[in-house]
Amino acid sequence: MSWSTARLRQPSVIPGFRLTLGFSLAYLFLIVLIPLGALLLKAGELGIGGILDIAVDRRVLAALKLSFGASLVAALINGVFGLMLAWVLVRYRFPGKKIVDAIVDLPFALPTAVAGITLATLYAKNGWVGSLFGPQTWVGSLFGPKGLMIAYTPLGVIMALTFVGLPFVVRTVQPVLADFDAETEEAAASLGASRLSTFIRVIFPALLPALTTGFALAFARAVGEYGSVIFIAGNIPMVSEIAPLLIVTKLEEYNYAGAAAIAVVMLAISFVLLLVINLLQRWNQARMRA
Amino acid sequence: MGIDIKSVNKRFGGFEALRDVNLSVAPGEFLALLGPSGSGKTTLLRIIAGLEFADEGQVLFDGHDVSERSVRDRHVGFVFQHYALFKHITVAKNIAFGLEVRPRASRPSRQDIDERVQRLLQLVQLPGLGGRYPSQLSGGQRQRVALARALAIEPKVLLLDEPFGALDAKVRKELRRWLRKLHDEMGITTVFVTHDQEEALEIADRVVVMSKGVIEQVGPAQEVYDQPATPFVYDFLGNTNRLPASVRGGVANVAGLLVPAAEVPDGPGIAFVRPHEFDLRPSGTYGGIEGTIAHVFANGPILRIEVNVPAVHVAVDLQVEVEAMRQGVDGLSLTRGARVALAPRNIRVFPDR
Repeated sequence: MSWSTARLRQPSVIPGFRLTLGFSLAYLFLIVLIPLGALLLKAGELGIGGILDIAVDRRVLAALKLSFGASLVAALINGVFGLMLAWVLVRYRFPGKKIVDAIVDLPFALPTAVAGITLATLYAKNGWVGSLFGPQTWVGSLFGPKGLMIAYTPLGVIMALTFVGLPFVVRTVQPVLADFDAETEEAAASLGASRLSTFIRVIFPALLPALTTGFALAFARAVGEYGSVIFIAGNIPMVSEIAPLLIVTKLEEYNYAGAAAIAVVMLAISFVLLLVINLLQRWNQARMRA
Repeated sequence: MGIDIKSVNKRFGGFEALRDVNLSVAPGEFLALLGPSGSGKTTLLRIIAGLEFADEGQVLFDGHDVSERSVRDRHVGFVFQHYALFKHITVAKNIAFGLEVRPRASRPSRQDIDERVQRLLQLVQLPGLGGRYPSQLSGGQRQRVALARALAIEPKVLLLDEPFGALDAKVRKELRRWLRKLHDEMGITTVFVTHDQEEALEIADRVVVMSKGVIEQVGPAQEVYDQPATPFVYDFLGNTNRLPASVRGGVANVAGLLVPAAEVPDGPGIAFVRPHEFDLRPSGTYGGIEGTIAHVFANGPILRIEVNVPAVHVAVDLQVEVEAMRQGVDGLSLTRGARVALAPRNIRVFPDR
């Protein structure tokens, strides 16, 4: 044993520290860090200035804005409805509950392109759902003379991203809610709290860490999503073109460094956002455990 | 505030949790619901609180029927076995919870709430810990916070569900004596559930012994212990010897000793004698059960003696446990194999069902 491992290693009865840590690091390098390193290297060919030039290009900026904006909105929608879905699945008994529970995972299992094509077909102007929002219908006329366009607009992008992110919030909140101590709720009621104020003051704070994790996962998934979005988005530059598509476009133009540059910008933004979410999470948990 | 429970029945599916329970709690009384698990004691407490609703029967607070009211509107203080504190807020916020959730019109001012929280922290002997989180406190401290939180809404009844069940023996003893003192100072009607007979007998004014959804006996702690009304109460409260007996014409024959048993029908019976309610006498003394000493265990000032009594009705020899103070048996030879007479000071005979 060299002196350095001796210092790193806390005396412990749990065996396998060096083996597992070594394997984990090797694995992380091979699967995550080497590809990301190569990406940085490729983008580095342009220099910092070159990367920034691409990043502030109007079309790229619009795509980044759409990608992160739509992902944020989709993750928020999933936060609200995922929480509700988890609540229903944990708290109530109803016929078909197991089936609903299984349906939640479907967005994981379906090839994203299939999901994208299905959504595009349904929400297009003449699709089953899309036609309900057309200018000639009652619902559509609420949204102005042209009706509500879903496919080929940012709305369609949000739609698709919500679809692929749905399972994350449900699956992270569900076990925490199931473990939630019924006595704590009864205590709140015995102190005179209404159902609503029990939820806001007692249940929601307990679910918040899991909800944040689910939100972060849904958000991360949405930022990287490609397959399900490109069909419904219509990919109109400056309007409904997402950043991942722009990367593919650059690749098709053999502009590898340009593609890598956009990727690096996305990577940096995602990293900062996820870091902030994690720090918030840490701060919140430290408060509760201390 | 007085509580009346009238003919309460409760079923959980096929399980009969409470069967025709009637009980009155006097204002300012300290009452213990005592019984083994599954006896219905917690269900009864939860029905009083409004956390559970009776299938039939009524709960009256000071003569007013509150059976239909939910726990939110009954204004009772409830303390749970596992504290049920709100983990994400501080001790002070926990205590203030019941005041802060009130509608604006009846909510005390920020300053009043703070003052009351400080007073309650003093009362439960945790001054200065208001800023801590529940996870930073010991079990005993958490239970005191739970109590302060329940008292903050100034309830007229305090209900405690095995409040000391999760604590270690020493803390439990301290805390229950402290709770009794607190009760005497505040005079609030208190009902608590326990399966620990020592706890119930030590601090309660009256003890309600329950078994299988039925009240077996209600009475002052000492009375319930000294004069158990049923075989169950005898068995459940403290150690006891069960001696087979045969009853004829109001007299029971217990291993050769004749005991009056006026209310017991003819036939087989069971006599109960607690180990410390035997006097040890020299063999041949009138009014004793003859036996042979099998073992003697000395435990400080107490001698625990096992005595074999020749069987009258059963195939094997009966082994009777006797407890005596050491100085009380001077002059007797208490060695293995010595013959002694056991004279019960208190014996009750019940029909053997």
